[in-house]
Amino acid sequence: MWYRVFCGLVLALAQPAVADTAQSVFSNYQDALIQVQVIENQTQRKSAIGSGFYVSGDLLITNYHVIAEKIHSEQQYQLMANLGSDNKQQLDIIAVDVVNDLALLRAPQQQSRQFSLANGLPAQGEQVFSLGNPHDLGMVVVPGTFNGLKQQSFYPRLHVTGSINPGMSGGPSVNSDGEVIGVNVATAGNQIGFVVPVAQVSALLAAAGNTVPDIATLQQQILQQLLANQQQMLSPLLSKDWQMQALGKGLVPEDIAPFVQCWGRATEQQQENGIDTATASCGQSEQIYLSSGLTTGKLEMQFEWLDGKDLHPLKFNHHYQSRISYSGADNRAGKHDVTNFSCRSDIVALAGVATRVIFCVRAYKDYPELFDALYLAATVAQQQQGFVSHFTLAGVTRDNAKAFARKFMEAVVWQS
Amino acid sequence: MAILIELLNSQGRVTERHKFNQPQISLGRGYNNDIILLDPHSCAEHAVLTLNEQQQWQLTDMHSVNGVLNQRGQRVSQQPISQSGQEFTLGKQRLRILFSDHPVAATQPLHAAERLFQLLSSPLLLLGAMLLVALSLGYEFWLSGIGEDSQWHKQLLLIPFIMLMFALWPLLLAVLARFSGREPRLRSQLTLTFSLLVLWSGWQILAALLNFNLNNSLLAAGLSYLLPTALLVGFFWLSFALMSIQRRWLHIGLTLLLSSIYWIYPWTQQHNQHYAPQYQHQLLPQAWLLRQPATTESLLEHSDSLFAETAAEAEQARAKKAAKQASID
Repeated sequence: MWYRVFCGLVLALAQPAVADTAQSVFSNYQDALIQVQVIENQTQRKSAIGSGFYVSGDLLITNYHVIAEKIHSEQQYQLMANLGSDNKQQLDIIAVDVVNDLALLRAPQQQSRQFSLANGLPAQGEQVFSLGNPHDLGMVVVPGTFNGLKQQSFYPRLHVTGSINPGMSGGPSVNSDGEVIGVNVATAGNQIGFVVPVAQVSALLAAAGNTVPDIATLQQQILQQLLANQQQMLSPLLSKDWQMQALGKGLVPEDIAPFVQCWGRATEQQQENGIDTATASCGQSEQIYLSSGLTTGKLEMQFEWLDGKDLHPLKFNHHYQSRISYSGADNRAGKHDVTNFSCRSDIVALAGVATRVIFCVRAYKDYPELFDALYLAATVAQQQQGFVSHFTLAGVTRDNAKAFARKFMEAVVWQS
Repeated sequence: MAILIELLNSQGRVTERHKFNQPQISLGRGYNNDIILLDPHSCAEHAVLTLNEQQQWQLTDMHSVNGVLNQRGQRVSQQPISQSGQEFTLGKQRLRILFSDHPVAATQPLHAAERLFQLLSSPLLLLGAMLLVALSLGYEFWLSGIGEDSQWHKQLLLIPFIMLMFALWPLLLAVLARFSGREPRLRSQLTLTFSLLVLWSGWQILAALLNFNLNNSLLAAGLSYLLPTALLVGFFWLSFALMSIQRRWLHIGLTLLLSSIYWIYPWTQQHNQHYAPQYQHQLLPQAWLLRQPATTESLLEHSDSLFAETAAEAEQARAKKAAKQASID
């Protein structure tokens, strides 16, 4: 009984305190918040909006994905800061970090009010506030709870339980002292929000120069970031031995890295169509956003075990073959972003078992040295049993794609 | 010297041919004429053809209603026949007058494929080919049906209808031949069509074997273009030969036009190859593998060319974009 009273007391005390802090955060920092607009030149209308905040007199932080169109099609867009009541100012891009989805902008007008960056992350459960302009509704402050670093994520993200909505991207999340702990970046719905940690913001600020680079320089910067990122992501995968698990008679990797999550599924035994299957798939939940038509930096794998022992061999083979007749890329990319796939298909011995192996690559048109690779393999059917394995790698170099394929072909095999 | 009168239809094709040794020949709708015309626009006594003292034939209009027109469409009342092959129109009836020493066209040799045509008209061959086609259709249904819900037994009932559809092309050719006064040769056309279908199935079996065993080889790639093309060219050539198309250029033109569908159709299909690649995915049971599998190293080594190709394509796209950008600036 007294417990309930105590809880009630705490709640009663906490509520006004939260409201107070939210109010003070908002009133203190309202001027340091802006809406970033990407204006299409021909129509002179907004094509994208996001939020941004001052970190020094004339420097602003927002998300890369808010301003991506400006870099992708420079001539077609303008970058504007909406300071309310017809006060719009043109913004310049100083530096970007596509891997962490950050952009550093410069405004022509000095702003006296600015956010300071927190030195560390709050404790889990601590109160935080996310600021921004959701759905173009005006600046809001949303209280939430800090829930630590997102698990199983290659790209560092903070997990904040609170409503982060479209349009709040690029806005800051602050602790109760009003210091920035990160930049709002995404939501998984149902009050689950993701925030880029402040360390990444500091790193971007430290690395950035003082001048406004041209787009080609920025693109070169992006390429270097992508190259470094794929190296960082793949080298641990390539150097360590993979833990393997059986899927039928096939061997499939299990948890090759914390950021690659695997799922499995099997059909009921003696299913109606005469083929028993078991599937496993592994993948990442995040990827790198480069433009509305192009995402990259993703690894995905799929495996399937098929057993049709009661079927005629020709009949089994007919259906087995149809499983590998079609395959597509996992990341989004348009005709202007990538070349057509070019493929090599052959019967290859994998651990002594004849296997149809298909290896396809496409090159990035704007980022030399980067490729998407697609691999698909199916063992030649033995006693109406087959094993299909597949991976796609987005945004990797030739050497890494080949090294990963080699490792995959050595590890993912039929164990006879 | 005897004289010949050929009655022509409106297309100039000979419908009747008469030969006379008498010095006077009457033409008209009346039953007392030597040549009885059926054309309602000709008169009962329309014209007369006479041999005069100078041994020259002449055609005289007997004051007919619609007259006698010469080759240029002029009305003539009396016209000497100075040379063989002159044409006249009586009412609407066209006719040609020939002397018996009129040269005839060179003898046409029998078509080289005539023996083949004889074989094609054999009912046994037709029956055999149809049976094989029906079997291969049945096999396709059987192959794609798995599981308890499979309808492949019922689908077998569709086979006669599919066969009827296949028979439409030979039927069309036979009807066309019939219309233009040639032999329809329906059975031969049917046999030809069903034989092609049998050969096509045979090619598919061979292609599956080739694709499974010979990857990235010029032989398999070349055959997969040449053999089907050769089959189609042969098929259409023989189809039109059976129709006895005489004009060589028409024969060749039609054959090439219809065979080219094998190349044109895939070319018109859109492929989003930047999203979904196209590749050889042929699989067959282990027993059909007639070669040693390649090593992973050789696959990876060969994949270098994929990177080089696509990188070159990307480089081209970048250069193009830069040029475009420069032209805007």
